[in-house]
Amino acid sequence: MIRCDATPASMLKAVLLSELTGLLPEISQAEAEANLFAACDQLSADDYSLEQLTRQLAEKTGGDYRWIDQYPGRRLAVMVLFNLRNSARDSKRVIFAALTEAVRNGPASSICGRSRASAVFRRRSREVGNEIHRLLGLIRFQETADGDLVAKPQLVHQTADLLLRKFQLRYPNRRLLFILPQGALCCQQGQLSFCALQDLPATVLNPTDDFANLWETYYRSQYIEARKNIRLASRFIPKKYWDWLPEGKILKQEADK
Amino acid sequence: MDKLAKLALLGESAKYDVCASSSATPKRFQNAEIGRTAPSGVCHSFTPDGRCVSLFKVLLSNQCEKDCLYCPNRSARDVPRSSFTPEELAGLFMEFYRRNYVEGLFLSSGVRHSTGRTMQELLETLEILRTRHRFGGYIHLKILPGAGEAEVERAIALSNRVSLNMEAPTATHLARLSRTKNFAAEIMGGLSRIHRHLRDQPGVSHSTQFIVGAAQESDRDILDSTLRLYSSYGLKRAYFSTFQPVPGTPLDSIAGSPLVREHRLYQADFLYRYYGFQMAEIPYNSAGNLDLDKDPKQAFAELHPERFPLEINRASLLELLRVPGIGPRSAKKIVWLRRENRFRSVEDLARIGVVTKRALPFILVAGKKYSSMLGQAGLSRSNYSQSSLWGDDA
Repeated sequence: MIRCDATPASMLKAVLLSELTGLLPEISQAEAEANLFAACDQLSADDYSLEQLTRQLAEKTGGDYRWIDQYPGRRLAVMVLFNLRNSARDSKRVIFAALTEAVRNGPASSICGRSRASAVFRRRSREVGNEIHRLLGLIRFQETADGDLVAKPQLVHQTADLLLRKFQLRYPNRRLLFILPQGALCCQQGQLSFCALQDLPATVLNPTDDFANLWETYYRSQYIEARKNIRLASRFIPKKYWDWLPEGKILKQEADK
Repeated sequence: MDKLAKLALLGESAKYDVCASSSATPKRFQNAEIGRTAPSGVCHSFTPDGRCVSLFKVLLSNQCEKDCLYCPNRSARDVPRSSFTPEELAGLFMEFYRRNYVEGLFLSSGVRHSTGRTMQELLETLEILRTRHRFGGYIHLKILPGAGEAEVERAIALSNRVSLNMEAPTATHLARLSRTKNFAAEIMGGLSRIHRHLRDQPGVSHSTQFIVGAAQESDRDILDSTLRLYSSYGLKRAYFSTFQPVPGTPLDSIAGSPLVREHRLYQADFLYRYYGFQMAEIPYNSAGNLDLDKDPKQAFAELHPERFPLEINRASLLELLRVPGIGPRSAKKIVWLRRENRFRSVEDLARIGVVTKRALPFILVAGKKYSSMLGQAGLSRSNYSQSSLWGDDA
């Protein structure tokens, strides 16, 4: 068995090593220590460099793996990262299948989702990418008396830190906080930290910044009734967000009319 | 009038202006204290009509000395009037931006007192945002018809995008919409000024907007005019807004245009901008309009059976872009993927985003044809019936 970390580079190395040795790649974790494979030979992917592995594999198969250092390799790494952040439970199996396909047939097939396995890989990557892009617009902050910006995002995948880093570019001089069910994730000057909810002051947990009224007034003013198209609106703002967003109740009213 | 009432009034007055994009180069206003543009636009909400709310879209004032016959803010219309001061508007916008309700500002105004004075107020608002608030995010400024050289230059220096509404494709058509706007001097002259100053400011673009269906113009008139703007005036994008009659205006008795007409114009515009079509290839009917029942790309493919079917494993990128159901992304993927492996099945195409239902009549996959063009043209077998041997009465 080949052990690797849950990072794109380590997983790619594990797949390359797997192609060289025929052993199965596996992500290191505590419970795996005592599994059925514990007695088997184990290699660690991180003991080898990427360059070493690609050179050996090129000698063995005669293939061209220069794409790993070029745009397709970088693109594939982002897709692996997004798959790791997806809430699906079997993500590592899908990632290893897609990476194996990329190493055997070239990167385009996995990136474009041509086979059934890589189509799942691509779809899951897109789900995470879409959540980041959508919530970059839909997350609304409340301002505390100290000038901190606090939001309670509704996340399906593990995207909180990726979102905060993007928001930090927009608000470089502010402390940003996401209140999540398991605690608060804070970002200040690019540094992320995590703290328990009970350690936060009430002004942060329940800011009294009542801006929703102004927003609703503006939102209503932009609606052209002659063009009403709830089906289109709900394609862009799925109904799962309607209870979370302030304008969700207006969408609901219009849908019921 | 309080802030909330002003926002409702001046937000509503701006709702017919179209500004779909908020994407811009992030390098334009560096060292900003707050705000950053994104290379791909971000939508912050969608109204029940399905339109994206990306920018804070308001008028500085809905007082207007112009009498454009279609406009809800025309001088002769009896509606409540109000204005923001530049400080008030800049402050209100920052409140929205800080809380991430909007991606940037779209600022326009009715012509209050004079074009020059209103332009000065618009520019003052932008100055406050860029210097006092050190805002580095996206700003789209609507330039008023008749704005002077210096005002246009300053507007471009402070914005990420500027636009001047053309409203109608020719002087004759504009005369049917407004008695006070001068097509040659105010509209084309303004667009020319914008084009001249944009050359010195990389990262800024300009757009325009047409009202569709109010001046009895044809789709060909609009698209020909758009092409002229793209090629001679460096226009980035044209927007089309279906005419909706506003009660209390001289055009309120004219029926509104169907929304699908606007959609077809955008499709034709995209064929030119992203699919490598020439404007002369866009199929029009005898009145110079696009077929409302058919996507222009589909209509083009059906009119040119000699070009199809195309073998998916050999067709060039430009040829693939002419196949209905294959967009620019899918076409690029096909070209990239077939370097590694030939396409052998329809499922392969479906997985990479090709709309196979529409594409199959026009393609071959590994030499095999999966669907007939006859079915697409509405000439399916069900149109034929067996003649009765004994006549209808039997």
